[in-house]
Amino acid sequence: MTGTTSTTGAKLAKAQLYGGRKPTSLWQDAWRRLLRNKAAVAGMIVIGFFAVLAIFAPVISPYNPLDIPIPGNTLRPAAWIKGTTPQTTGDPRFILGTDNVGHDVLSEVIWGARTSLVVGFIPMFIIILVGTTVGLVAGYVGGWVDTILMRITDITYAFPDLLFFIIMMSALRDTAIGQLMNGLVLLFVSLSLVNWVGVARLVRGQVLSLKRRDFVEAARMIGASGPRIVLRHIFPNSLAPIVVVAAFNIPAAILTEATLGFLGLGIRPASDPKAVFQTSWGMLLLWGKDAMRSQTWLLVAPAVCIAVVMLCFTFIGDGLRDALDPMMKGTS
Amino acid sequence: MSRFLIRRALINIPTLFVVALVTFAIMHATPGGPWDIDPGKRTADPKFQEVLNRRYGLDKPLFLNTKAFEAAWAERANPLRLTQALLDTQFWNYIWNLLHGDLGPSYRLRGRDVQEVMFFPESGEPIWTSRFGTTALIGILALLIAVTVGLSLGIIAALKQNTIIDYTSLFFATAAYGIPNFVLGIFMILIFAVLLNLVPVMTPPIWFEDSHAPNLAAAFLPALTLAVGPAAYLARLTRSSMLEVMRQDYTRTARAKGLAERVVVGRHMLKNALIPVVTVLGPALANLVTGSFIIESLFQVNGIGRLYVESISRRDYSMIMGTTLFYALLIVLANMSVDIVYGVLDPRMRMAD
Repeated sequence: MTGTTSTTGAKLAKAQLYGGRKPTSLWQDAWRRLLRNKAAVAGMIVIGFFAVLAIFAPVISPYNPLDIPIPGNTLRPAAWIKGTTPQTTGDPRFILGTDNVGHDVLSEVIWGARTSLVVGFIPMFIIILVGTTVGLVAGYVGGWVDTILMRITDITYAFPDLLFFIIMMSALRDTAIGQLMNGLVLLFVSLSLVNWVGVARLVRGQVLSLKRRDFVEAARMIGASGPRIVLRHIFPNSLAPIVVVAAFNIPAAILTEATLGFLGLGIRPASDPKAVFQTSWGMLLLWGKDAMRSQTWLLVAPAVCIAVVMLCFTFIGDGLRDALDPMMKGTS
Repeated sequence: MSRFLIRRALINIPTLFVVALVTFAIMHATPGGPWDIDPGKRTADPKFQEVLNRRYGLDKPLFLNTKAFEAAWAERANPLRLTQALLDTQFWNYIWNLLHGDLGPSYRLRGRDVQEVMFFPESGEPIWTSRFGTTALIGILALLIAVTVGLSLGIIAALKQNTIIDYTSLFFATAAYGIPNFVLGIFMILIFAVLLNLVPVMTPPIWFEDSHAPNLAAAFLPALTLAVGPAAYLARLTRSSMLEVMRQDYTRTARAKGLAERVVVGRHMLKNALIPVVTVLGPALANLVTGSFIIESLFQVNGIGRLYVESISRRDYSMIMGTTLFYALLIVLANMSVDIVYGVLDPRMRMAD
């Protein structure tokens, strides 16, 4: 009996303290704001759909992209197209048609989602890890680390990054690293080499502005060590802009891969049907563009996929920025 | 101000130097060379290669000529000769020629110099029909489209804030900003050329063959494709900048004293709202320029962008260097123009530097 009274009492006290609302952290608030953003939610759902496609590509896709299910069944249009001859009429077994070798276009597009998403996410993690570390150290320690970082960023900003990617991909294509995972590793390395710099510069700016804040001074005063101040006080407070920049890094990387693939410099087409990454949307566009008028279906599906995925990530990034904005005010 | 300008200009020199150095280093790490018929697969006759290498100085070391240095050292040559011997290499010779305005001979388009291919047309044609002229024409057209469409969309959206017009233009601006320009180009070709049959699938020559006047109809589709991204960006920026200005006291004062809406918008709001917009025109231009090599390849336009992509697959070393430096220079100039415009508009920026 007394136990219940005391818990109700505690509840009452809590309710009075928080004005009848449960306390929410800044991140919970941001998450709620993000969920209220319709475009961002739609974006997340679509990306989730593509992620399922990408992960279960071998199960979902009707054929392996390297398979030629019916020999000689080349350049068949999409299933709903009615032509004058059997060869120009769609076949329900090949919903999006076949290419000039006889590969199923739908399967190629599904496997392409894998490449795009991996290219979006893996370099992003490397970039954030390296960029944040360097930015934290440069901002907090200053001195020569900072000077070197600033020089590197100046040069990277002036280097047209697509030029750099093109030169890297065409130069190191035939070397050992260029052949790892059909050239994906080289792409990751090139992307990371360029893009960590922007993150480092952003984090450095954050650290510089947070370093002189009262709560950091207070931590220093009670004897916290440098690494502890950076990791426990400065880093969590600069997390919001890092999350936003990470979100915008994903579509940028996907775009780079598609662009390079379109120029014939992306990942190389797989020759082994068991390879994890078989093809990419940019590559499909490259193959499709030569016969734009007669075989439109080769272009439409990958082009729509790239456009939709890029758009969704842009919506998510915009939504994240708006959701985190109250925290970012005055820091950027 | 002039000190600020000079300092800002000088910073670019080491930057461009590093761009040249990195490009040169990666390029020469590439398997295959300019004499291969098909880089990486079939190689030319070794004897023939040797002759060509000697002719173009490709037999020299890349960065430091230690052999010549040792020979000169043994002869007790003076320091100037020693330096000359040490730097008698491919890279430093290239830089030396570059400083004299010579971008070197093209290795693949035999008998033509790089600057000639980039800036001069085939013999007998007017100068503006060169590859540079073509790229510039499309770039200028694109910039005009981007500025007109972007500014008007942004202004209208801001004036009609929170109406269906605002939401529609904002949605299109976000969508256009998110879709990569070459995918957009593909859609443009599919819609205008394949579906509607308005223009030919293969872009006709940008310059009329007889009169050498620009064929604006041919240049329009590539220019429009290039313009969409920057236009969307400008629209978003103009909108938010206009909304900011709308809340300012001077706007309210202008309205309160009974000025016509046209005057309030034109004189008081636009003039102030366009300051941040003007500063991004530089990067927008740089964006257009680097977007050009994909668009030029897609639309098969004979500009510098396409030349760049082609020279990479041909391993045309001097052409790659020339075009890369050209692009880097444009970007550097665009970035510098922003800083200068900022400096002019906002004196605090100069002090902070």
